[in-house]
Amino acid sequence: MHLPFAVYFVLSIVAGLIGSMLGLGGGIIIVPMLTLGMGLDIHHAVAASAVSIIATSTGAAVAYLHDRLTNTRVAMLLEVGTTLGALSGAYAATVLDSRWLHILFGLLMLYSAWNMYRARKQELPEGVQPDWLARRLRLSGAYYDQALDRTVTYQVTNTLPGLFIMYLSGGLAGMLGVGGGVFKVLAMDQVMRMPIKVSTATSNFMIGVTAAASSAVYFAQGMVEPLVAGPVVLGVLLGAMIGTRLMVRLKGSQLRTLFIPVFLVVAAQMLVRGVQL
Amino acid sequence: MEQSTEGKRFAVERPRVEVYLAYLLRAGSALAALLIAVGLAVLSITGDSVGAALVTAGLITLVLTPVARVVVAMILFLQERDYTFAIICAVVLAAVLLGVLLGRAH
Repeated sequence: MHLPFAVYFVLSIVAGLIGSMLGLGGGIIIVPMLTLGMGLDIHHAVAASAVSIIATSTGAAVAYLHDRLTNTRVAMLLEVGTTLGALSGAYAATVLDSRWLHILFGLLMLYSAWNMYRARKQELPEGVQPDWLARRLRLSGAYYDQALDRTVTYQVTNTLPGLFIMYLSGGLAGMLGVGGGVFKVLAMDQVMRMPIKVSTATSNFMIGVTAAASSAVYFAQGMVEPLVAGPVVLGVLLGAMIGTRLMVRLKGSQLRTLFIPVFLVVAAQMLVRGVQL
Repeated sequence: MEQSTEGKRFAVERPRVEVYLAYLLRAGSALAALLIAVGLAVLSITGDSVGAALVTAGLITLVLTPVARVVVAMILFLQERDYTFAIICAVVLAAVLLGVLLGRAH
């Protein structure tokens, strides 16, 4: 009884640490850890992972809000896209070809990895002109950057395309078997041209809401196993506390470099699944 | 919003909404962690089912926290007469609740 608790706890610290630093939730780590590592069946693992995403999101949000890295206005606006997208997701699954969708998104992730690589030395986006919607909704922001030791003010652009991508990613996340975290960071960094640290913290803030909806459903289905999810949540919360402390001290360029392998892994996963389907 | 004390830590002021949301998220995650930790301890020492119930209560607290965050943000935006963002929160809340009612996990 004692051993699995400790194993779940320690492994989850790593998941919480990476998930909170990159704004990805950490399902990418928790699900394989529970299925391949601990022999849990996929349904219970996915349910525990959904609950753990809330832990990453909530645990990290406290620190990122404190440091003003989270853009809550952008987060709440984009949540409209992800939650409505999630609602229409089941419909999308019936009309779209899953194989080509996997391949398409795999290629998109490859392209994003390449973009990240090219812009790996870029510390902050330059010359961003806010669009009318960003101006009207007052989406611009400012934070004190610990790595640069100065206050960074930034603008937001391409608000509607960003919102549309959030809608698509919310709808396709279930079908593609990846959490929306990667797409959220991508949309904010590469389309809406926000600083990478702000994109990461804001993605982190957002993933809690959709994960809460999924978790509630898993709870109702009796899929959440307290003796698994409990220690996982504790570990993830601790990991998120450490991860956020690390992330605020990182330079934007260092954080960008960390994303490259993650994008490559997700791209490979999707391409392999697309070819196998 | 921004002060001229550049280079000083936390020179950027926080809007009221974010201060309250940070309190809420901190309280939610702390309560959840406490319930889960005590529950696991009770379970390991006595093997009592009360332990499992405490862990479940902690997990439910955690799941409710982000939903409470949307509700509280909506109320704060209404107080500030920021109706656009109050509506945005209302739409998110409705979509989340509808998703749960339809039993749609993703």
